[in-house]
Amino acid sequence: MKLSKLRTGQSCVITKISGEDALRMRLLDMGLTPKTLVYLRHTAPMGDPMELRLRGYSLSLRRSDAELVEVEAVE
Amino acid sequence: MTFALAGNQNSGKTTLFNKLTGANQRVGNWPGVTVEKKEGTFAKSEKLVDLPGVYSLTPYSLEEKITREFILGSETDAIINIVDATNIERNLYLSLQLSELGKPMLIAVNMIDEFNKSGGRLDVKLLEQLIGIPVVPISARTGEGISELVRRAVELNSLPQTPKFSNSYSDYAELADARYAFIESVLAQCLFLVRAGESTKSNKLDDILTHRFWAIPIFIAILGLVFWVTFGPLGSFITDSFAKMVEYGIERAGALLDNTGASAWTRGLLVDGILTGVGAVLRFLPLILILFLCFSLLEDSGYMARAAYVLDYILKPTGLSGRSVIPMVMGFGCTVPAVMGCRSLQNERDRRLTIFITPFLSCGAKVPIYAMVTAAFFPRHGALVFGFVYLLGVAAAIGSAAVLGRLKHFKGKISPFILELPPYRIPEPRSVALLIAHKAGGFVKRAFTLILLGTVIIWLLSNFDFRLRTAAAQDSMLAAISGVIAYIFKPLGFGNWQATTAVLAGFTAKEAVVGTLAVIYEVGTDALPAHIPEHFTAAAALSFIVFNLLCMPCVAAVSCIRRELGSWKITFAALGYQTGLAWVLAFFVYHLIGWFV
Repeated sequence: MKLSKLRTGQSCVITKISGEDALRMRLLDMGLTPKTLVYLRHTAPMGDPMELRLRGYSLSLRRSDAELVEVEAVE
Repeated sequence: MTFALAGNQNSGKTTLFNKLTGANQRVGNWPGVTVEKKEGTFAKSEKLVDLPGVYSLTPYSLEEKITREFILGSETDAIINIVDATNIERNLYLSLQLSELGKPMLIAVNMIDEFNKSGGRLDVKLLEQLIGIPVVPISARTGEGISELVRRAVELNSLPQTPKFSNSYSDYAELADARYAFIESVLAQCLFLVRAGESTKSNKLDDILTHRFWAIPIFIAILGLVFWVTFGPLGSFITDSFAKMVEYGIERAGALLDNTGASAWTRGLLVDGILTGVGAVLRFLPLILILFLCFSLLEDSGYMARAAYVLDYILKPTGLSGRSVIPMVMGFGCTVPAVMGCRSLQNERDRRLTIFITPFLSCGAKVPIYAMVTAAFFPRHGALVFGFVYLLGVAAAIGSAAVLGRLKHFKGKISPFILELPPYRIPEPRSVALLIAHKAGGFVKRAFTLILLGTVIIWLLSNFDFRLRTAAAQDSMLAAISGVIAYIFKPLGFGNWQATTAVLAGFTAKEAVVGTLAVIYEVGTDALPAHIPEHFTAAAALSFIVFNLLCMPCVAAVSCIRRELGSWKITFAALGYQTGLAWVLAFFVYHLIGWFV
């Protein structure tokens, strides 16, 4: 599934990042690399952007940008 | 030796820079771009250059290009890389990239005190061995470890540099993956979290400040508080006291000139022209400083990142991101700091577009115009008029961003919104104070250069006729010019030389609009509302408000826009657009209201 479909409180593991170069590199640089555990802490009032926890810090990301990230949900 | 200070945003880089260099700082721009460059000296003669806060060294962002090029340049001898201990995993990613550039390097692990307090332990010696780069634990805030940092920086050339990570990947995903995998394996050996988990206090605060229902009301309340502090009893006391001091100074200068027997002409130019003009601008200084103080406290505490996060959704359709919210909001106070604040926008397209639209947000100096018209025509509907004016400003700003953003000039990558939400921290007083001092210096410098020129020209025009004889206001060149320009305002309902002169005077400072009308109508400012209906219809007065709300800002703001846009051509395009839109909307308001009333 896509990272953009993650629900609040859900965790997932990244499997693949696709998309255009600059954004893909930026996401990788920020630590969204394969096998990374990501947790959706909460979202902004309109449900977008989302606040993710990964590698011990908080990152906010728009759902439209999160579409580039393939993940596997973790129960 | 010349050291480059590099690190992530929110890593305490500015605090460390201030701690190391103290007052020995010089602020300028990187060649050709409006990214700030700070230099200083430490340990007597070592030069330190503060690089932009970056997360990586990809060639895509301006800041990252500057960082990479400066470090690779021949001027740079060594790197001091600051790393946030409480967020070390992601921070070390940049460290690995920096080490790949091949210059001698030292890692300063900052906020070690906070990290230890939260139950973490870091084996610094082991970390140093595992990554092959010297490491010093510090706390830039308390000064812990700083002398050790300086000692090792000075002898950096003789310290062993054997980076253990080597870049041998062609695919960027593999490379990023390998860097993080290396960091994870290193930290698995030397980092211990006794009490695992995040700061619960910061999380609880975050839950409230970004709450589903409360986030936006809280944002508005915080803004309200900032403006209450700036324009309320406390702020006006400070502003008024300062204004009195400035006025007293001008009065004394006038008295001094009288005593020395200066001619009326010299006295007029010096006192009524130059000093009064510069004084009118200097009066803004406390207001701007208080606003900057409030906003830098919000920034350093971590709240601004949340405001951007919460409001991103609203700005998304315009092609701007939540980051633009911060400077735009400052525009409600004063356009000058708002335009300067646009520097925090990393994307060049966003920065320029935000500078274009920020003047639409009604600045504090325009309030007297609305108050005057409200008192004259709508004494019982003040809230309605003010609400209409502010909303119209916001709508003009957002609408313009959406439309202008599609023009060729603003084409370019719409930046993704990828923003770190740093933990909430108490702002560090010294850094805030230095920032304020720096802003004050820049503002005063401008007041005495470009603004001075502008006020002198307007003074000359308003005090002389075309034969260069001193003249009363209604016979001056300004009145004559206004009489011609007034035709432009005929369709807006206020096409007379008096209202036109007031609009023109507004270009020196928007406060001057009401004052000028009072002078021309020869009534006190208090009695002014009673006289307004003699000269304006209600529809014309509203159209007057709309025009003043949206037209080009004052000289101080224009000079700032010019500096930040870096070109007169683009600046005039912005001013032309603003004034043109003001005319069109004032036209509609005049005729629509005229229909109903």
